[in-house]
Amino acid sequence: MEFILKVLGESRHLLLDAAVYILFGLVVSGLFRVFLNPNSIARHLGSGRFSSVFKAALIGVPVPL
Amino acid sequence: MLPAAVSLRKQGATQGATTAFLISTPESGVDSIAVTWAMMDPVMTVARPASAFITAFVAGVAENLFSYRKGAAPAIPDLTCPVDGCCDGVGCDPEDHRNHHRFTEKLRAGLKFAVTDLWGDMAPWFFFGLLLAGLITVLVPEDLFSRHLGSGLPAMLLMLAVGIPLYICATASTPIAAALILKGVSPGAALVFLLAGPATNMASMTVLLGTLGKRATVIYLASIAVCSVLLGLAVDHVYAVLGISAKAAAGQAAEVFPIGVQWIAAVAVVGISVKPTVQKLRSIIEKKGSVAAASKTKKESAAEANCAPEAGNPLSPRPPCSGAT
Repeated sequence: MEFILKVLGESRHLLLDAAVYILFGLVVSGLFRVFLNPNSIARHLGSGRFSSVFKAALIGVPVPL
Repeated sequence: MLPAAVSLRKQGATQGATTAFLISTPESGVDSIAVTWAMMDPVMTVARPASAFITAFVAGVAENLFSYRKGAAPAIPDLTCPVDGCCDGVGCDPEDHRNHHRFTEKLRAGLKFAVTDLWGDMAPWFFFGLLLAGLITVLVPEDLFSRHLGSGLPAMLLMLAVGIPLYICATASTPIAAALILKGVSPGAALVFLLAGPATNMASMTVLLGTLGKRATVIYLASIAVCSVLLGLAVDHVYAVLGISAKAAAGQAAEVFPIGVQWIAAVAVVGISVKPTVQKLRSIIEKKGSVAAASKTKKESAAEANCAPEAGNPLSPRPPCSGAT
C-alpha cells in the first residue's frame, strides 16, 4: 500500500510539472488545425527529390499528431 | 497520425515526403516540445525536434533515392472546412472559403478538436506513461544505470530495443525519459528512446508494410535506428562539451509557475482525460472479450483482411488499422 502511494506521489509530481505545458500545447495544436491552409501544404510536397522531403520533415516537427 | 500521412500520399506527396512526415510528426510536436521543456532541460527541448527533423529528412531522402519519379500526379488537397465540414472547398473561392466562419467559431472548433480528438487519443497513454515513470522513480535504485549502462552504445541499443516495438506517443514518452535520466541514463540514450518510441510500433509497421511496401519499411526502420543512435551519441557529446549534467536540470522548468497554477492546470488536464481514458479502458476490455470469441471461429483471418491493402489502390485508408496516433 505504501509502495502504491509512493508511485502515485511521483506520478502526481510529474503531472504537476507537465500540466500547464500540456494545456498550452493543446491550444496551439487546435489553432494549427483551423488556421493552417491545407492547400499550400499539399502544393509543396508533390515534387522535388529533396525539397519535398525537406518541407515534409519540417512541417512534421510542430504538427502534433 | 497514419491517416494524415496516407492522405498526404494520396494528395500527391512524394514517397519520401510521406516517409519524412510519418517520422517527424509523431516524434515531435508543439505539445511534446512544451512538455519536454517542463520535464527536462533546454538542451533536450532543442535536441528533440532537431533530431526528429534530421531523422525524417534522412529517411525521406533515402526513400526518394529509390522511388522518385518525375512528373507524378499533381496534388489535390483536401479543402474541407475544418470547422464543421459545411463545404468541401472545391470550386469555392479561397477568400470566400476562409470566411465561412467567424474567428471565434474557428477558435472554438480548434480547441474542441484539440481536447476531444488529439488529447482524447493521447490521454490514456499519457497517464500510462506517468504511472510507468512513477514506478521507475520508486523501483529503480539511484545508481543502477549510472554504474552499469548509463551511456555509450550499449545503452543506446537497449533503448532502441525497448523503443521500437513500444506504442507510445511523444508527449507520453516524455515523463518516462525524464525518470530514466534522473536514474542516471545518459540524455543521449534517453533521446534514442524518445525518437524510436513514438516513430515506430508494431501496429504502424503492419500498416507501413501494406501501404508503402517492404523495401520502404526496411528503409524506414533502418533510418530511424541509425539516426537515433548517432544523434544520441551526438547529444551526449554536447552535454560533455557544455559541461552540464542533464540530471541536475531535469524538472527545473517547473519552478516557472506557482504551485497554485500547476494544480489548476493539473485538475483541468485530469478533467479532460477522464472520458477518453474510461472509453479506452472499456474498449480494451470489450476487445479482449470479442477477440476471445472470434478466435474460436475465425482465428486471425478477420484481422488480416482488415489490414490487407486493396489491390490497385494500396493507399486507401484502412480505419481498423490506422487508429495509431
